[in-house]
Amino acid sequence: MSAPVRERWRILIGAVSFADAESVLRLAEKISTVLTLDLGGLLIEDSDATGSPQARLVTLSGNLVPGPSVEQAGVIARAEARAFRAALSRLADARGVGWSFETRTGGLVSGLIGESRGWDLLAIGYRQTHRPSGRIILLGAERGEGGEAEAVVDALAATLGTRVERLPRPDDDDTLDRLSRSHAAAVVVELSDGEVLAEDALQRLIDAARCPVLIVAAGPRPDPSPGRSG
Amino acid sequence: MTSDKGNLRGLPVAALRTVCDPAILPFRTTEELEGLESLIGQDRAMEAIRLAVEVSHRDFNLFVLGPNGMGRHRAVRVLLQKQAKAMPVPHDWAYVNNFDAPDKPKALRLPPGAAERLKVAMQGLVDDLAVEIPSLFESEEYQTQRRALDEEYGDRQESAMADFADKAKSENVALMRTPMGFMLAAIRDGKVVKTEDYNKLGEAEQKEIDEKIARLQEDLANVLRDAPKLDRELRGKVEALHAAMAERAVSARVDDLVGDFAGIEAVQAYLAEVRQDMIANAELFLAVRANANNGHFPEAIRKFHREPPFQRYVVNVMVTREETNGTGAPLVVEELPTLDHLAGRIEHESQMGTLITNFTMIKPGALHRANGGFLVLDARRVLTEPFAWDALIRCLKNRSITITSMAERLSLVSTTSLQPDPIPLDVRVVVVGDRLLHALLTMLDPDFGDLFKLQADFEEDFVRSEENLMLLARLVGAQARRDGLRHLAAGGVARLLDEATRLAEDSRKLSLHVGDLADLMREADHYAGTDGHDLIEAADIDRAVREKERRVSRIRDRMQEAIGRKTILIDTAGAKVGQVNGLSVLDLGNYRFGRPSRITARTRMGSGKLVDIEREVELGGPLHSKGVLILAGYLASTYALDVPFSLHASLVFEQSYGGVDGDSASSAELYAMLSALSDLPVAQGIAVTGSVNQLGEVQAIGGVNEKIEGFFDVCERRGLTGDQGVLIPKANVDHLMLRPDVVTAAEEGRFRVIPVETIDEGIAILTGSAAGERGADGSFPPDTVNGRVEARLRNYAELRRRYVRPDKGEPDGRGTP
Repeated sequence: MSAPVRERWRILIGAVSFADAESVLRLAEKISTVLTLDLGGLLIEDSDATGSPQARLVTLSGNLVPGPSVEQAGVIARAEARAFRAALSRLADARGVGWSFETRTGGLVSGLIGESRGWDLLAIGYRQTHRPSGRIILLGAERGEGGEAEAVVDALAATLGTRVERLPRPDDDDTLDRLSRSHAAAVVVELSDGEVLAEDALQRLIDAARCPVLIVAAGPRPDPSPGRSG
Repeated sequence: MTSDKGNLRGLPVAALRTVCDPAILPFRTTEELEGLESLIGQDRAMEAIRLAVEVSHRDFNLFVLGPNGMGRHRAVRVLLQKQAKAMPVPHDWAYVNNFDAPDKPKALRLPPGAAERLKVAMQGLVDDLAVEIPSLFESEEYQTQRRALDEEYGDRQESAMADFADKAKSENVALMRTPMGFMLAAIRDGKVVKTEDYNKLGEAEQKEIDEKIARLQEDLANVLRDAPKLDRELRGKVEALHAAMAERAVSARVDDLVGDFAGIEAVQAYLAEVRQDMIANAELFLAVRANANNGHFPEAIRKFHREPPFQRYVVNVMVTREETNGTGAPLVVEELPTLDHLAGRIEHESQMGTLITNFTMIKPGALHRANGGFLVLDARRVLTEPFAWDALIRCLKNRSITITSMAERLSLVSTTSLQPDPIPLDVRVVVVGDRLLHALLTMLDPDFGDLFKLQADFEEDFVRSEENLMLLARLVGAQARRDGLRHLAAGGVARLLDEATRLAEDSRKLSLHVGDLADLMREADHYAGTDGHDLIEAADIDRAVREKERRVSRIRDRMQEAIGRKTILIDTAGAKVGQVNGLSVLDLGNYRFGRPSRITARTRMGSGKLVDIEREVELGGPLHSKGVLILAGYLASTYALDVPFSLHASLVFEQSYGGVDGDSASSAELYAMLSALSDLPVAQGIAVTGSVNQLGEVQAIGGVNEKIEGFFDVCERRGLTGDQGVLIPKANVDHLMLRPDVVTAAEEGRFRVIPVETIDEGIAILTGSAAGERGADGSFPPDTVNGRVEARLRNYAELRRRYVRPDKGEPDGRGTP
């Protein structure tokens, strides 16, 4: 028996880059035709992403390019923030819903978990490396038992024209490995009441999925009125 | 009854006009006569036409020549229609798209009626597939297969990344995302090694980290570079899936058409190409479906074949025949044979400022429609249309129809055009024209003789025999029926037959200008109607003849008036030396009439020059000049042969300012000259016509009736004296068909027509003096015309001699006349 579907969802989109955020914004744009979404954006400049001075960047097309300098990284970060914010506001205006936007520095997962309070849907962005988009993977729920995650999954599958695959919760390496080798458009996880996803577990999930991850009911229900900020 | 006054022996009345007695006609009205649909008197021409329609060899095209109004067009059509019905129905022709080279459309030769069927079948094929193909691509079967492919390749990609991630993890390297791409960083104690931490490491450890980071970066780059290859592979698989899906739908429907057109090889080959093209371009059907929901009509009845993307499957029917049902081969009469109308055209339309075309814009011409049958053209029309004749000759010579545009021929446009397959041509062309055009084409067009080996030369008249009188009567009756006229009484027929003889200008002939006779009948029918007659009588025909002449004779009447008022001086009584009434005909195109002209001659001693004043001022044509030179030759070779020809003479047509040609007045000019030389006056009441040769023989001329009537009208206007008449060549007696009023005057002895064979006969009649013949001593009797002429010429010679050698005569050269 599924839980009653809420009428209005608050989705927080977290990403380290506009390209990652865009992957979730595309999904949000699709499902906002079915579900009413209030939007929040959180851009985190991942302070861990520095590494060796000799390290180079590998672009999506497979080219090796030098990493940016600190100054360049700052410029890029600000540009990414502007792009993310603009896209968020465009989508919100188009749907007539509220939106908010913030930038942070730090780790993506820790930052998102820290801000998850008050949001119904936590979306972690991950850029798409190839086309076409794959299936929707719902973790840890049998058919009909997914509660509100079912609504999200159904909305995604319908608007993307794809199917839903159900996998057990990724508590073991085999499941993670299977997830890692599956071509998914999005991975959806529903947390039960009061459950909090551990940071490392979430990181492993993100690393294995390599696609947007949507966590349903990641925190307590919020105030009903969102405001604009940024 | 002959008219005889002195030596003015006129022709008997019967010779002046041939009259058909209605009593000899074995009918009362033409209603009793059996109809006659074929032409009469045209055996020669009809045999040629029959040969043209029956012979199967190519290049035996036909030129039908003759003047207008002979019934040529109708005769040709009737014969051709009859022959065409017995011939097999020719093939259909259509143009279809050449999928490999769209600028070279393919011609399909199809059984009669098949082109239209194929066109409709292709329209149905497109309409059906426009619904079926999109449905197939929306089907669960396709969606499932498509998803399976997407997932297979997606999973392969993910597996490659997963393998890399595992490898990286095993070497304690983290894969991190940045705005610009992926970054690899070492992990130590479960945490990412930041820059400041890295700097604290030992050199060996740093080196180790750098080495594995570099290696793994390269591995990651390779994985990402392989992604497009997998995408390409997936695309190939998807296209193959699409082709397989499309092929199922297309083949199922195309196979239906293959069965419907079994046995037609051209269609089978075309459908094979259509099948391939539709499979390769299945997205056309998907795209049009996407727009289908925007239309007003439900998808089920929407005519997708009209959409622009599907023009490539149109069957452009050039010519289609009815299914064999006794209709036979085509007979096409092209009334406006322009280049386009004859050989077809390729249309263009303007799009975005340029002219475009495709195979659907090829339009057929008369040659296409007539292919396998007959084509009838009017010579003057086709020759006056730019490039039309050239196109006709080219198509006949090449035995195929090639379409070119005038703009292309004139290099006026350089836009892309088409080169459609030429369609083989098998047609018999019949061109109807006048003799002048035929002669010009024979002389000037080297291909004409090769391609038009037959000519049908229409007679303009035939013998006036009892049999032919009846034939013409039947033709008249048939014409009356055809035109919805009143029937003709026997008297009306007789009068019309006489008019036919008048038109033939020969008392032994009947004119075959049926058009002119039909016009008279129609006008007479109107008069019969206004007078309340049930039949067309002789009086109605008479009236039609008179009224027709009255309508066109304004200029003749003005001239007669000018003569009557002596504005133009013509004597019709008395006698004058060196002056003769010559006769000429003025031809206004639709009417000609005769009128007298005063011809005068003046002579004196000279060096043998005969001045033709008309020629001197370039008002005399070459034929007139020839006639004057001939009479000069007669004079020089007939008289005073033992002395130099010492005459200076001048001849002129008095009050003639519009040009003179022809030699029909040369005998009148000679009479004037003989009168001047002999000093014997010529009777002014006798007008003269006839040409003369160097032997003094009077030869036949044309327009003898008009000339006689012209002088008669002048004399009658002043009052006939009984001494008036016309001298005509004896050879023209058979051509006489004078007006009834002239005949009546002759019968009453008030006017006469006198035939002569020689100049001597004529001069004797005109001067009243004997002409004279050379005696045994070689001289003419002195009081004869010839004697006096010769004496004058000898005197001129003597005067001249004395002038040249004055010691033999008067010192100043003066001599006695």
